[in-house]
Amino acid sequence: MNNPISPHLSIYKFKINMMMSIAHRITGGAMYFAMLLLFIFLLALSFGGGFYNVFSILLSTWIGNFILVGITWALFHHMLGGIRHIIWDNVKGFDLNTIDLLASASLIGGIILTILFWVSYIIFNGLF
Amino acid sequence: MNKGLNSWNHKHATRHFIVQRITAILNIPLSIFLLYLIFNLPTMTYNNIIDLFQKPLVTILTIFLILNFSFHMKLGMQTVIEDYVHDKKNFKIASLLNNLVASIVIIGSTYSIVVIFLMD
Repeated sequence: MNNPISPHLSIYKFKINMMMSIAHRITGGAMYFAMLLLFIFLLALSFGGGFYNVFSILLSTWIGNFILVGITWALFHHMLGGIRHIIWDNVKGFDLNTIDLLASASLIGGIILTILFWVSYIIFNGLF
Repeated sequence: MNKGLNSWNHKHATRHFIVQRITAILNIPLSIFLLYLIFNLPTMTYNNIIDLFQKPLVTILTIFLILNFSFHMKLGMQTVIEDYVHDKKNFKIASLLNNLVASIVIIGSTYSIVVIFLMD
Protein backbone atom coordinates (compact mmCIF):
# COMPACT_ATOMS: atom_id res chain seq x y z
CA MET A 1 0.00 0.00 0.00
CA ASN A 2 3.00 2.25 -0.39
CA ASN A 3 2.26 3.72 -3.77
CA PRO A 4 -0.19 6.60 -3.99
CA ILE A 5 -3.07 5.53 -6.22
CA SER A 6 -5.16 7.98 -8.16
CA PRO A 7 -8.89 8.03 -7.36
CA HIS A 8 -11.19 6.61 -9.99
CA LEU A 9 -11.37 8.77 -13.12
CA SER A 10 -15.17 9.05 -13.00
CA ILE A 11 -15.12 11.37 -9.98
CA TYR A 12 -13.46 14.11 -12.05
CA LYS A 13 -15.32 16.74 -14.02
CA PHE A 14 -14.43 16.51 -17.70
CA LYS A 15 -11.61 18.88 -18.61
CA ILE A 16 -9.67 19.29 -21.85
CA ASN A 17 -6.28 19.05 -20.08
CA MET A 18 -7.28 15.77 -18.41
CA MET A 19 -8.39 14.48 -21.81
CA MET A 20 -5.06 15.54 -23.36
CA SER A 21 -3.14 13.80 -20.57
CA ILE A 22 -4.97 10.56 -21.40
CA ALA A 23 -4.51 11.15 -25.15
CA HIS A 24 -0.76 11.61 -24.60
CA ARG A 25 -0.59 8.13 -23.08
CA ILE A 26 -2.85 6.56 -25.70
CA THR A 27 -0.89 8.05 -28.64
CA GLY A 28 2.38 7.03 -26.96
CA GLY A 29 1.07 3.50 -26.45
CA ALA A 30 -0.15 3.34 -30.06
CA MET A 31 3.28 4.37 -31.32
CA TYR A 32 4.82 1.63 -29.16
CA PHE A 33 3.13 -0.80 -31.55
CA ALA A 34 3.88 1.42 -34.56
CA MET A 35 7.56 0.83 -33.79
CA LEU A 36 6.95 -2.86 -34.45
CA LEU A 37 5.59 -1.85 -37.87
CA LEU A 38 8.76 0.16 -38.55
CA PHE A 39 10.80 -2.88 -37.47
CA ILE A 40 8.79 -5.15 -39.82
CA PHE A 41 9.28 -2.60 -42.63
CA LEU A 42 13.08 -2.68 -42.21
CA LEU A 43 13.03 -6.47 -41.88
CA ALA A 44 10.97 -6.79 -45.10
CA LEU A 45 13.40 -4.48 -46.91
CA SER A 46 16.36 -6.61 -45.78
CA PHE A 47 14.59 -9.85 -46.83
CA GLY A 48 14.15 -8.68 -50.43
CA GLY A 49 11.78 -7.20 -52.98
CA GLY A 50 9.13 -9.93 -52.67
CA PHE A 51 8.76 -9.43 -48.92
CA TYR A 52 8.71 -5.65 -49.29
CA ASN A 53 5.95 -5.89 -51.93
CA VAL A 54 3.74 -7.87 -49.52
CA PHE A 55 4.35 -5.20 -46.84
CA SER A 56 3.63 -2.45 -49.36
CA ILE A 57 0.40 -4.08 -50.60
CA LEU A 58 -0.84 -4.58 -47.02
CA LEU A 59 -0.19 -0.90 -46.22
CA SER A 60 -2.00 0.21 -49.39
CA THR A 61 -5.30 -1.36 -48.27
CA TRP A 62 -7.76 0.99 -46.61
CA ILE A 63 -6.96 -0.54 -43.23
CA GLY A 64 -3.26 0.04 -43.95
CA ASN A 65 -3.94 3.65 -44.94
CA PHE A 66 -6.06 4.15 -41.83
CA ILE A 67 -3.22 2.83 -39.65
CA LEU A 68 -0.66 5.05 -41.43
CA VAL A 69 -2.79 8.20 -41.04
CA GLY A 70 -3.44 7.21 -37.42
CA ILE A 71 0.29 6.86 -36.77
CA THR A 72 1.05 10.31 -38.22
CA TRP A 73 -1.73 11.83 -36.11
CA ALA A 74 -0.42 10.06 -33.00
CA LEU A 75 3.08 11.33 -33.82
CA PHE A 76 1.98 14.96 -34.29
CA HIS A 77 -0.31 14.88 -31.25
CA HIS A 78 2.29 13.26 -28.99
CA MET A 79 4.98 15.65 -30.25
CA LEU A 80 2.90 18.75 -29.48
CA GLY A 81 1.90 17.25 -26.12
CA GLY A 82 5.58 16.60 -25.43
CA ILE A 83 6.51 20.20 -26.26
CA ARG A 84 3.80 21.24 -23.76
CA HIS A 85 5.51 19.09 -21.13
CA ILE A 86 8.91 20.62 -21.93
CA ILE A 87 7.38 24.09 -21.41
CA TRP A 88 6.07 22.90 -18.02
CA ASP A 89 9.48 21.38 -17.15
CA ASN A 90 10.86 24.91 -17.49
CA VAL A 91 8.32 26.05 -14.88
CA LYS A 92 6.38 28.09 -17.43
CA GLY A 93 2.73 28.06 -18.46
CA PHE A 94 1.18 26.88 -15.20
CA ASP A 95 -1.66 29.40 -14.96
CA LEU A 96 -5.07 27.91 -15.73
CA ASN A 97 -5.65 29.90 -18.92
CA THR A 98 -2.32 28.84 -20.43
CA ILE A 99 -2.93 25.20 -19.41
CA ASP A 100 -6.30 25.18 -21.22
CA LEU A 101 -4.85 27.08 -24.19
CA LEU A 102 -1.92 24.64 -24.59
CA ALA A 103 -4.24 21.64 -24.24
CA SER A 104 -6.58 22.92 -26.96
CA ALA A 105 -3.63 23.98 -29.12
CA SER A 106 -2.06 20.50 -29.00
CA LEU A 107 -5.40 18.86 -29.85
CA ILE A 108 -6.23 21.19 -32.75
CA GLY A 109 -2.58 21.49 -33.86
CA GLY A 110 -2.20 17.71 -34.09
CA ILE A 111 -5.31 17.40 -36.27
CA ILE A 112 -4.30 20.34 -38.51
CA LEU A 113 -0.73 19.03 -39.01
CA THR A 114 -2.09 15.56 -39.90
CA ILE A 115 -4.50 17.04 -42.46
CA LEU A 116 -1.75 19.30 -43.90
CA PHE A 117 0.64 16.35 -44.17
CA TRP A 118 -1.78 14.07 -46.03
CA VAL A 119 -3.26 16.82 -48.22
CA SER A 120 0.24 17.77 -49.37
CA TYR A 121 0.99 14.07 -49.81
CA ILE A 122 -2.00 13.74 -52.17
CA ILE A 123 -1.06 16.97 -54.01
CA PHE A 124 2.55 15.81 -54.57
CA ASN A 125 2.09 12.06 -54.95
CA GLY A 126 -1.53 11.62 -56.05
CA LEU A 127 -4.15 9.43 -54.41
CA PHE A 128 -2.83 6.09 -55.69
CA MET B 1 0.25 -4.55 -3.13
CA ASN B 2 3.55 -5.32 -1.54
CA LYS B 3 5.99 -3.38 0.54
CA GLY B 4 8.90 -1.98 -1.43
CA LEU B 5 7.00 -2.25 -4.69
CA ASN B 6 8.82 -0.81 -7.69
CA SER B 7 11.72 0.05 -5.41
CA TRP B 8 14.28 -0.90 -8.06
CA ASN B 9 13.11 2.06 -10.09
CA HIS B 10 13.27 4.66 -7.34
CA LYS B 11 17.08 4.69 -7.54
CA HIS B 12 16.87 5.42 -11.25
CA ALA B 13 14.07 7.99 -11.13
CA THR B 14 16.29 11.00 -11.84
CA ARG B 15 18.06 9.22 -14.69
CA HIS B 16 14.66 8.13 -16.06
CA PHE B 17 13.45 11.75 -15.98
CA ILE B 18 16.56 13.09 -17.73
CA VAL B 19 16.77 10.38 -20.41
CA GLN B 20 13.04 10.76 -21.06
CA ARG B 21 13.52 14.50 -21.74
CA ILE B 22 16.70 14.16 -23.81
CA THR B 23 15.18 11.46 -26.04
CA ALA B 24 11.96 13.52 -26.26
CA ILE B 25 13.79 16.57 -27.61
CA LEU B 26 15.92 14.50 -30.02
CA ASN B 27 12.73 12.75 -31.21
CA ILE B 28 11.50 16.03 -32.74
CA PRO B 29 14.11 16.27 -35.56
CA LEU B 30 14.08 12.46 -35.92
CA SER B 31 10.28 12.54 -36.36
CA ILE B 32 10.71 15.04 -39.19
CA PHE B 33 13.11 12.55 -40.82
CA LEU B 34 10.51 9.77 -40.31
CA LEU B 35 7.78 11.96 -41.84
CA TYR B 36 10.09 12.60 -44.81
CA LEU B 37 10.33 8.80 -45.25
CA ILE B 38 6.55 8.28 -44.89
CA PHE B 39 5.99 11.07 -47.43
CA ASN B 40 8.40 9.71 -50.06
CA LEU B 41 8.70 5.92 -49.71
CA PRO B 42 5.18 4.88 -50.89
CA THR B 43 5.83 6.13 -54.44
CA MET B 44 9.37 4.68 -54.64
CA THR B 45 10.33 1.30 -56.10
CA TYR B 46 12.09 -1.33 -53.98
CA ASN B 47 15.44 -0.65 -55.67
CA ASN B 48 15.15 3.11 -55.14
CA ILE B 49 14.35 2.57 -51.46
CA ILE B 50 17.41 0.31 -51.06
CA ASP B 51 19.55 2.98 -52.79
CA LEU B 52 18.19 5.60 -50.38
CA PHE B 53 18.87 3.45 -47.29
CA GLN B 54 22.42 2.77 -48.51
CA LYS B 55 23.30 6.46 -48.25
CA PRO B 56 25.49 6.70 -45.11
CA LEU B 57 23.56 9.69 -43.73
CA VAL B 58 20.22 7.86 -44.08
CA THR B 59 21.71 4.70 -42.52
CA ILE B 60 23.05 6.63 -39.53
CA LEU B 61 19.85 8.66 -39.09
CA THR B 62 17.71 5.49 -39.24
CA ILE B 63 19.84 3.69 -36.62
CA PHE B 64 19.75 6.81 -34.43
CA LEU B 65 15.96 7.06 -34.93
CA ILE B 66 15.47 3.41 -33.89
CA LEU B 67 17.67 3.83 -30.80
CA ASN B 68 16.14 7.12 -29.68
CA PHE B 69 12.51 6.12 -30.32
CA SER B 70 13.03 2.73 -28.64
CA PHE B 71 14.57 4.19 -25.47
CA HIS B 72 11.83 6.83 -25.27
CA MET B 73 9.00 4.31 -25.77
CA LYS B 74 10.58 1.90 -23.26
CA LEU B 75 10.72 4.64 -20.60
CA GLY B 76 7.17 5.78 -21.41
CA MET B 77 5.76 2.25 -21.17
CA GLN B 78 7.70 1.73 -17.92
CA THR B 79 5.90 4.74 -16.43
CA VAL B 80 2.54 3.36 -17.57
CA ILE B 81 3.40 -0.04 -16.02
CA GLU B 82 4.43 1.66 -12.75
CA ASP B 83 1.11 3.52 -12.69
CA TYR B 84 -1.25 0.67 -13.50
CA VAL B 85 0.41 -2.66 -12.59
CA HIS B 86 0.37 -2.92 -8.81
CA ASP B 87 0.94 -6.63 -8.32
CA LYS B 88 4.67 -7.22 -7.77
CA LYS B 89 4.90 -10.37 -9.90
CA ASN B 90 2.89 -8.88 -12.78
CA PHE B 91 4.97 -5.73 -12.49
CA LYS B 92 8.17 -7.70 -12.97
CA ILE B 93 6.72 -9.67 -15.91
CA ALA B 94 5.41 -6.50 -17.60
CA SER B 95 8.74 -4.70 -17.10
CA LEU B 96 10.64 -7.70 -18.47
CA LEU B 97 8.34 -7.85 -21.53
CA ASN B 98 8.79 -4.11 -22.06
CA ASN B 99 12.58 -4.46 -22.03
CA LEU B 100 12.32 -7.49 -24.31
CA VAL B 101 10.20 -5.64 -26.91
CA ALA B 102 12.56 -2.63 -26.89
CA SER B 103 15.59 -4.93 -27.22
CA ILE B 104 14.05 -6.89 -30.11
CA VAL B 105 13.15 -3.66 -31.95
CA ILE B 106 16.65 -2.21 -31.44
CA ILE B 107 18.64 -5.36 -32.29
CA GLY B 108 16.33 -6.52 -35.12
CA SER B 109 16.08 -3.11 -36.78
CA THR B 110 19.80 -2.38 -36.53
CA TYR B 111 20.55 -5.83 -37.99
CA SER B 112 18.14 -5.13 -40.90
CA ILE B 113 19.66 -1.69 -41.53
CA VAL B 114 23.17 -3.18 -41.66
CA VAL B 115 21.99 -5.98 -44.01
CA ILE B 116 20.37 -3.37 -46.29
CA PHE B 117 23.54 -1.23 -46.22
CA LEU B 118 25.69 -4.21 -47.26
CA MET B 119 23.37 -5.28 -50.12
CA ASP B 120 24.74 -5.19 -53.69
